Amino acid sequence: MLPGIQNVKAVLSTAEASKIQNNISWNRGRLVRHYFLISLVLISGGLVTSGLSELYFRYQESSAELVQLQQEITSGAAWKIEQFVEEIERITRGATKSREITERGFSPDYQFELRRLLVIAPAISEAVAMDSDGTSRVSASRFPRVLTGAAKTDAVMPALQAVKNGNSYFGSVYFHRDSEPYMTVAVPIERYAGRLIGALQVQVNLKYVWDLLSKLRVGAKGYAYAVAQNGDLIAHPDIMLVLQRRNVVDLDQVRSAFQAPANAQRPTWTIAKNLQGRKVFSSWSPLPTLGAMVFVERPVEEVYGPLYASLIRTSGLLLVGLCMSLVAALFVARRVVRPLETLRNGVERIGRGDMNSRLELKTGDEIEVLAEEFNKMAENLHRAYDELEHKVTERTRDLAIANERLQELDQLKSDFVSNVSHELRTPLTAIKGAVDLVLREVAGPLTEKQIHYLTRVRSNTQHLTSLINDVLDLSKIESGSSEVKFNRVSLSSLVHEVIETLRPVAAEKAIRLDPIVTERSIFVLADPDKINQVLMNLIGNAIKFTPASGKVTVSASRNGQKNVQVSVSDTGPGVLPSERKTIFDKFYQIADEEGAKPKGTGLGLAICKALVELHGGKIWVESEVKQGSTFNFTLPADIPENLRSSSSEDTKARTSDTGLVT
Amino acid sequence: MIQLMIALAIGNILLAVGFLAEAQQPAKIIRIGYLSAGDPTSRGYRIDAFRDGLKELGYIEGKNILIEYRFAQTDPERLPELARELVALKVDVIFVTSRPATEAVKNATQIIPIVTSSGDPVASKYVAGLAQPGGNITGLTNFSSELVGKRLELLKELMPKLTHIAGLHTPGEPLPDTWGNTEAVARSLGMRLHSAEVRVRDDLEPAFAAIKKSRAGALITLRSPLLVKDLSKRIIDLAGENRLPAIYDEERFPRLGGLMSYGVNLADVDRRAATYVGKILKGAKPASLPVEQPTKFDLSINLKTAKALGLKIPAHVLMEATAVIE
Repeated sequence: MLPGIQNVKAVLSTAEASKIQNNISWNRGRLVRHYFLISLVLISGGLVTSGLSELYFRYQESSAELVQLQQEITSGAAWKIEQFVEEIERITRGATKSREITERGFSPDYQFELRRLLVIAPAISEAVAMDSDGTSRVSASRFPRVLTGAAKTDAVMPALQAVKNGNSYFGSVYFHRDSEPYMTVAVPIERYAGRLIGALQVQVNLKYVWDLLSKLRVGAKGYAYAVAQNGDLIAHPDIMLVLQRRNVVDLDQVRSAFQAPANAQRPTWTIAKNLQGRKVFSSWSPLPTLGAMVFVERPVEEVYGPLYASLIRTSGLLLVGLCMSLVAALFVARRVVRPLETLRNGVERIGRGDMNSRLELKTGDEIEVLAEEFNKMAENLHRAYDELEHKVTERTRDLAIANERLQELDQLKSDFVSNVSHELRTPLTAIKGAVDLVLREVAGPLTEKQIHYLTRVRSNTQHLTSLINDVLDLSKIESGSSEVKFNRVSLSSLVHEVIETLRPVAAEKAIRLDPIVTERSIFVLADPDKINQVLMNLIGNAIKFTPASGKVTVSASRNGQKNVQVSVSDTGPGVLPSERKTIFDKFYQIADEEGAKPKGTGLGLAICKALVELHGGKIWVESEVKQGSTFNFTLPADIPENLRSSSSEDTKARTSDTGLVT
Repeated sequence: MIQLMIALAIGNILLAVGFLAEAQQPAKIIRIGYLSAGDPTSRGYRIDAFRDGLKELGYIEGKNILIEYRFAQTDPERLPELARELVALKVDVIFVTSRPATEAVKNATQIIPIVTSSGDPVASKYVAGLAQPGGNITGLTNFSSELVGKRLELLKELMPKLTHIAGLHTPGEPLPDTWGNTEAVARSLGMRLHSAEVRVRDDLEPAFAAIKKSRAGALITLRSPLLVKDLSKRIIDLAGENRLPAIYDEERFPRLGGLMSYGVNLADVDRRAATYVGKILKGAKPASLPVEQPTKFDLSINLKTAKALGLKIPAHVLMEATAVIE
C-alpha cells in the first residue's frame, strides 16, 4: 500500500474511531436488548399470564372456601347453642307431663319431677311451678333463697303471657349477682292440650354455653363467643371476660352483626380487631331464642396463612420460571446477535483496510450465506485494490523519472541561458566599447556615412544587450531564482519617479504624461525595483505606441480592501481582441500603425506579467481599437498570508539595481 | 490507635461482666403462699386438688414453683402472724381457703395478690363486686352460708314433722349474719333453731349436752375452722351417740359417718382457684379478675347412718344425691 493512503486512513481511524465504536456498541446493545425483550415477552408472557390467573383464581376460590368454612363452623356453633336451649325447653316441657298434675292443681309429689329436672339438666339452677295467676306452688332449687325473688319480679308476667298461647317463653339474658349470665325459660303446664293449669319456669345458667363454646375447636387459635343484644358477653372461652360483664358493643364485628337487617343479603363475616386488638376474621350467626349472636373468630394470619403460603409457593415457582425464561431469552438473543456481531467485526476489519480478513460463520442459515457473499466481495475488492495499487506505483515511478529528467533539462536550459548570455554580453560589450571609441573619433575623423553606420551598429548592439538582459531576467523569474523583497512602498512616489525618468522620451514625441493618483498615501507591499521595472515597461510601451501629441495617463487606486490597482492608459492604436490574450506571451510583438514591427525584445509584457504574478497580483489589458489601451495590474495593499515569512527581515534592503538575484 | 485499643478493651470487659452477671442470675422461682386455718392432715385432699390445678397449668411444685405452707392448726390467733410471715417472704401470690385466713392476709398486705376460695367475698367485703373485685383479692365463692337454707330444707324433707333443730356454731362464723339468716330460714320452714356455741375445743361436750336438753330433732353445723376442721370427727361421733340426724356442708362428713351433706365441692373449688393463681402469675391483676360462682353442688347421703337412725330417705331426695354411701 502507498504510504500516503495509509496515512490518510490512519488519520481517519484515530479521529473517528471512538465515535464509530460508541455508535456501534450502542447499536449492538440495542439489538441484543431487542431480541432479548422479544424472547422474554414471548417466553415469559404465557408463563406470567397463566401464573397470575392461577394465583388469582386460587385466591378467589380459597377465600370463598375459607369464608364458607368459617360460616359453617359459626352456624354449627349457633346450632349447638340453640340446641342447648331447646334441649332445656324440651326437658322442661317433659317435666310438665306428670300424673302429679291433676284437675285441682299440683300434688306435693310434683316436687319429685322438679328435682329430677335439676338432676337431668345441670344448667337449670331453679325450677318453679306456678298457677296461671303466677302464684308459686312447687319449687326446687340448688340454692333456695337467691333466685326465686329475682325471677319473680322481672320474668313472671311476660312468661305467663307467652305460655297462655301454648308457647314457650325465652327471656332475655340477665346476670345473676351482676356477674353470671342467666336466662329464664318458661313452658305451659297443661292438663291436656288446650287446658292450661299454669307455667313451669326454670332459670338456666348460661355458663354452660361457655362449656359448649370453649370445647369448640376452630383452627389453632380460633375461638367462639356469644354476645347479647346489648353487647354483653354471654359466653367466651375466657370466662373471666363474661364474669367481668364485659360489653363488646364497640367491636366492629358486633356492631355490624346487630345492625344487619334480618332478611338482608349481607355478608355475615368481616375482618376486624378483637378485644386484644388483634386482626381477626370474624363471622357470626344469630341465636334467635337467646336474642343473641354467636361469633367465631380466627386470627387473620391463621386463616389466610395456608392460602398465603400457597400463593407464595406459586409465586416462587413463577419467579423461578421467569428467571429461567430470562436466561433462555438472553441465550436466544445472544445466539442470534453473536453471528451478526462477528459479521460486523469482519466488515469493520475490512473497512479498516485489512483485506486479508475473512468471516468464519457456520450458522447454517442466511447469515452464513451472507458471510460467504461478503467474503467473495472482499476477495474481489482485494484483487481490484491490489491491481490499482500496482498501477499507481508504476505511474508514480514513471512520473518521478520524467520529473527528474525535466528538472535536469530545466537546469541545462538555465545553465545554457546564463552561459550563453554571459558569453554573448562580453563580445557585445567589447563591440560597443569599440564602436563608442570609433564614434568619439579617437581613431580619426569619420565621414557622415561612417557615423551613420556606426550609430546603427551601436543601437543594434544596445538592443541586443537589452534583449539578452530581458531573456536573462525572464529565465531567472521562471526558474524561481528571482527573489522578491517586499517593502512598504509609496505608490505615488514610485509612479512619479518613473514618469520623471520617462518624461524626456515623451517630450520627444510631444506626448502628455499625466499621473493621476487619487490618494497620496497609497502604500503597497512590493519589491520597489521590480514594480519600477513593470512601470517602466508599461509606460515605455505606452509612449512607444502612442502617436505624437498623444496622451499617456498613469493612475492608481484602491481596488477593494486588499488590493491596489495601477492603470496605464494611452491614446495609441489599441489592441485587437484576438491579441489581448497573447499579448503577454514571450516574444510577441504588435505591429505599429505603419505595420512595421517596433523596436523591442518582445519580452517586456511577459516580464511584467511574471513580476506582477510574483507579487500575487494579476495583469490584464482593456482596449478599444484606434482609441487606446489601458494596461491594469494589481498589487497587494497588505502582505499576502503565504509571503509574510520572507518579508520582514529585509524590509530596508532596497537595492538600486533591478533587484534580480542570481 | 492506642485510644482505640483501650476503648475496645474496655468494651470487651464490660461485655464479659454483663454475661457473667446474666449467668449468675438464678432462674426466678415462683413462690406461692398457702395459708390455712386448719391442719395439713385434715386438708390433704384440698391441698392435692390445688396442686393438681397448678399442675394442669404447668406449675409443678418443687420444679418451677415453691409453695410456702402455713397452717394455724385451728388456732385463729396464729393466723395474723403466719400471714405476716408469708408477706415478709415476698411470695408472688397467697392462696387462702377460709374467711379468717383471708382476713389475716388482707390485713397483712394490700399489695401481694390474694386468691381466696372462702364463703362470700362480697358479703365479707373482700371485693367490691363479683364482676370487678377492685382490690388485691379475688377468687371463688363457695356459697357455704347461702346454702344453709337448702340444708335446712333437706332436713325438713327427711323429717317433715321436725320442729326443733340445733345449730352448732362458733359465733360470728362463717359470717357475722349467718346465724341470723339461718334462724330466719328455719322459721320460714316452721322450725325453731337452737343455738349451741363452740368457741373453744372444750365447749363441744357441753354444747351437745345443751342440744340434748333442747330436744332438738336434728343438727346443722355452721362452718368455722374449729368445727369443720379440727372437731369434725368428734361432732360426727357425738351426733351418732345422741342419735341426731345431722347435715354438713362437705362430702367428707358423710364419708366419716355423718348423715348427709350439701354444698359445693371444695376440692373442685380449690382446683379451680389454681387457675386464678395461674392468671395472676401470668400478670393478670386481681382487681380485674371476676369472682367465680360455683355451679355444681353435691348432695351426699350415708345410708348406713340413716338406717342406724331409723330414717327413710324419700325417693326425690335420694334422686338428687350425687353420692350415696352404703
